[in-house]
Amino acid sequence: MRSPKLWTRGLRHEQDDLRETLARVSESEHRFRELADSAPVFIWTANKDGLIDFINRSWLEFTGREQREELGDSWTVGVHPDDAESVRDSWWKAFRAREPWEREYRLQRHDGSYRWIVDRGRPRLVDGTFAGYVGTATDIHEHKEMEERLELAYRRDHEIAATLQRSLLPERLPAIDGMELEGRYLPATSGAAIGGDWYDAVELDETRVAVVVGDVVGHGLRAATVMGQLRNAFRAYALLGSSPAETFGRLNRLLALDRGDVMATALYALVDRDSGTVEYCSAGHLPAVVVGGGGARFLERGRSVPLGTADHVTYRDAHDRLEPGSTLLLYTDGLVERRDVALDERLVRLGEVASAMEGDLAAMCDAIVEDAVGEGAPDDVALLAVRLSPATEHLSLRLAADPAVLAGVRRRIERLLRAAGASRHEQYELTLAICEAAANAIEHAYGPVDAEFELEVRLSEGQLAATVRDRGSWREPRHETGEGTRGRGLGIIEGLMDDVEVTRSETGTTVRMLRTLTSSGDG
Amino acid sequence: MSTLADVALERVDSWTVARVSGELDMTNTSYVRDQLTRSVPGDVDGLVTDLSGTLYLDSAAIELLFEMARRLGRRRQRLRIVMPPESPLGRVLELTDVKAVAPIHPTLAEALASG
Repeated sequence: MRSPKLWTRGLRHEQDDLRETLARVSESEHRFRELADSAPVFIWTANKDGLIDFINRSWLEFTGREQREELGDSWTVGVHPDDAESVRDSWWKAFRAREPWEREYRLQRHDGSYRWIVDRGRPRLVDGTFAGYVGTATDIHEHKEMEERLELAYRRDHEIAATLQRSLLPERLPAIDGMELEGRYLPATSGAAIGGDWYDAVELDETRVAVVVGDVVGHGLRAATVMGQLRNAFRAYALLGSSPAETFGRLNRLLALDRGDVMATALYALVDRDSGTVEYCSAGHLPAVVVGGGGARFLERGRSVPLGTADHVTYRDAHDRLEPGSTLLLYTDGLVERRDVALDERLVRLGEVASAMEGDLAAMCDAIVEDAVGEGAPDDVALLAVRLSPATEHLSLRLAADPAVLAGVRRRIERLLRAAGASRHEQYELTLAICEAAANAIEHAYGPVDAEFELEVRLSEGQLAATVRDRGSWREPRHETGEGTRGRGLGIIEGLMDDVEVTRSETGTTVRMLRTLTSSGDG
Repeated sequence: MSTLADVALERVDSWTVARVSGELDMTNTSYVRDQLTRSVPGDVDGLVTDLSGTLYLDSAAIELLFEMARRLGRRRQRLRIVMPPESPLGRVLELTDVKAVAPIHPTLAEALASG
């Protein structure tokens, strides 16, 4: 046991130490405050309970408030109401975890206006023990405003480019008989990377359909505008019916003529719906993919330089074949180019994803885009998928009783007959006979605006059987005597078909027609 | 305007020549009728309707040919038709006996040369 005296002396010694320490602390604290008050930035400290226990003069001069009004947690009073909650939440969250804290928020100045400041705090340790936070804050209002203006201008540019881009793309791909078409376009999610990607599909004649995808080099409004011009020029040239290489030759000359500084890559495939042949040409574009039979292959021939690289370029066509049911994929580099993955790998991956989803074309496109883009597209992505429908031997249509549907009906019947090997004479004669019956049905359906008729065409063992049926309210033909247009129509049907049967009843008229095809070649 | 058919008109010697290309059906016969009726002035011998470039014609178009023959006949003018023998449309002209109102020539030259 220690003697009392010794104990007292020890106590006094400790008290002396404490007093000395306090004096030192007070001295250093005083110097800290003096220093802090003369600093051009806001400085604050918080105690180990997270409450503010010091705020420097700059801060007080800014807010125009007294030191005591800012202490504790009342400093958040001056924070903009929209920011206050998130500022408090983030502060207490950081504090509890003893983590550094940083926040940008609006703080009310003495004149009542709000200014953006950035506020940073760090935990401070005294002899290894947590003792609260020390922080600084800076007025960043001008900087922030500039940033917002830039952001706004940037966003506006992006929006204009995106809108323009979208308005220049086909709103809806055309419905083309004998072919399924799906298109996808995703504007770049990040910034003004919006570009000049486009795709298009144009029905050139009874058999051939032009499909194209292209990418104007560069980004922003200008790329989108050039894209629009190229797309229209492409349509015009494609309609001339020349080969992909010739079409690209013309486009290239057009670019050279117009402006020397525009460049674009593009791939044009001319697909014949009847034969499945594909004539294609690539102007520096990534290869198209053919997906079918559980596998994928790339159309890598017919390659040349991008459009706009040189005044005179000879583009070359390559030929391939698309089986019914297989899919031709055209796309832009945004779909496959990633900084961290080799292009070859991405292309293989594209083939795999597409092959795994062969069933439904829309689902295939969704899967491809989803796999390639996922979270967001760093660059524009355009994808066009083309699939030949299997040749049909059967047509079953319910149509509006409107003469305008006739042209479409002719295409479908002609296509069916062509696929069956009917001669040109047979194609015309049978199509005419069936359409005369359809025209009858349309005339009968005189009356209700939304009247319909049914048309069925079936080919089996070299014989064509067609039925045209109109239902509901109809009236007797106007020219029952056999004179005039419709009478002549019936005469034509009877003259062109082997067998015709017309059944009239109260519920409508049915015309059944039969004819045996004689040829299976061109006649 | 018609999206399916086009009529190109030309005066050749004492005839008006109308080259009809595309498809003729009940949706555009009235357009073609307007084109044809306006194109034949009183001082020509008549109208040569050239169907060499016609891909399709239906009973409404056949009816139009009969109508044109009647109209021209009333004005003492004539209708001639050009249709190459290999045209798939031939059988329909035959079936409807168009040649009873207008002679059918294999070429335009022959249609114009014929007396």
